[in-house]
Formats: sequence, structure tokens, C-alpha cells
Amino acid sequence: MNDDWAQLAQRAGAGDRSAFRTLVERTQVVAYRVALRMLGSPAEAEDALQEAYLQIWNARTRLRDPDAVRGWMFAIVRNVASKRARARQRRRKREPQSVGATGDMDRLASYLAAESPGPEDVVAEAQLRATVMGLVDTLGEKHRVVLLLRVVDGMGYDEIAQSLGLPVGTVESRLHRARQLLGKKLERALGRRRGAA
Amino acid sequence: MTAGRDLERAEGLLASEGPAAPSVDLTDRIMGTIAAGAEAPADGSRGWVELWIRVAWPVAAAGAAAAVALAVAAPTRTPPPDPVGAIMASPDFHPRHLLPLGPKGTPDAP
Repeated sequence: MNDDWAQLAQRAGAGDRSAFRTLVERTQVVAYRVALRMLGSPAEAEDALQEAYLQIWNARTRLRDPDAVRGWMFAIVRNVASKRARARQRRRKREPQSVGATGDMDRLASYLAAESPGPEDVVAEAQLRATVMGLVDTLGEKHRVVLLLRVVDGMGYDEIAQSLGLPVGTVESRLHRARQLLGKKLERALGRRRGAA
Repeated sequence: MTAGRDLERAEGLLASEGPAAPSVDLTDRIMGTIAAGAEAPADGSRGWVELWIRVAWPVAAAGAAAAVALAVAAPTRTPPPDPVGAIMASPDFHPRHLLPLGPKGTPDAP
């Protein structure tokens, strides 16, 4: 399997576009998830991916170890997404945004407090999810990305580790910490409402 | 209601979104961009050539054009006034004209 990747990398390095196409096909879904979790917007993630793959193609002759092609490609995707995320953050600083309007947090509080979700909750699920996502967005990038890749995208630890260029142990500890932080944020956001009720 | 259960249900909400995937297969878009020649130098060697063609050459050309324009314009400029030169160039000039005047307005004897 690894030989297959290495062969593709060598052929692509020599300018074989069909080999590069296969590499794009094989990596784009995970690369897209990483970019999406870093940037938060599907359109921006797709643009970042296009830019990243173009950079990968242009740098194809600089890949020293063809066996490491996947990690190398994901590193370039992360680099591009990270630059775009920083630019977006600068823009956002100029337009401050509020996290979780009062009504949304009240709805989330009653949803989480219910024994089982009612029909109303199912209809409002997308909105409730957006409220939770608003809290997740306030986590730092390194915790947010690991949490979303695991919980939303259902990726395994190995896959997350490879796509983020991290040891598996670091992925586990970041995920644990991300859950702790999200739990505290939920508690803080909902506690006041429950106390008041 | 425990905080652990809140977190679990909140995660359940997130998970209900399902794994993300690009809205379309991006392969054709990416390969199309590459085929259109939107590529930077693969080995870096062409980078300086491109920089020269795109940036340095026009700047150098503009500088050279400005230098030529200055050189052409230079001889037509009016020289600064030179009163002593004008006196010396006069047909009536005598070296005594340059000597300091005496008390009655006549040149002193050497």
C-alpha cells in the first residue's frame, strides 16, 4: 500500500499528471475535512484545497521521501489553511461577533435537560447544533480541530494523527482536553440558565 | 443532570451533522487549474527569471528611460549667470578692469 503511494509520488514528481490526479482523489476528502475544521466554511475550505494542491504540484520535485507523501501533502494543506485562518481572524477582529444569542442558549439548555428530544427539538436540531458549534468555535484551534475531526467526521485516532502530523498520543490528549474545555463552556453557558429556572 | 451527560448530548448534536465532504469532486477543478498553466516553477530555478521578466526588467527599463531623458534634456538647460565671464568676454575688456577701483573711481596703479 505504502509502495503504491511512493510510486505515485515518484511518478507525480516526474511530471505524470495522471499519478498526481490519483493522489488528489485519494487525499482530498481528509484534506477537505482538515481545511474545513480549521476554517469553518465549506467554500473557504474548497478554495484552500485548490490553492494547496497547486502548491503541492509546483513543489513536487522537492519531496525527498516518496513514502511520506501523504504527510507532506497534508502539511501543505494545513499550512495554506492556517494562513487563511489567520487572515480571517484579522478580518473578524475588525467585526466582533457574539457567541450564542440568549434565545439559542435557552433552547439548547432545554434540549439537553429533556429526557428525550421531542419533535420540536428534532426540527430545531440544526439550530441547536449551530449553537453548540458556536461554543466549539471558541476553543483554540488545536483542540477544536481534533474534536471536530473525531466527533463530527468520525475519523480514527491514526487518521487524525496522520492528517495533522501529530503522534497518536498527542491526538488523544488534545481530544481529552477539548472535551474538558467544551464541558466547562457548556456548564458555564447553561448553568446560569438552570440556576435561574 | 450531569455535566458529562450534557457534553455527551452536545457531541451527539455535532455528530448528527455527519462527516464532511467537498460539495463536488475537486479533482477536475484542481487538475484544470494545473493544466491551464497556473504553475509556479517546479524546481525554483525559473523563479529568478520570472521575477526579472515581471518586475525587475520593467523597473530597470523605466530607470534607463529616465536617465536617457535627463541626459538629452541637460544641454538645453540655461547655464547659471557668470558676470565675471561676461566682462572678460567683452571686446573692450582689459585686465585692469578687474583691479580694485581707487578713491576717484579710477584703477589704482600697479
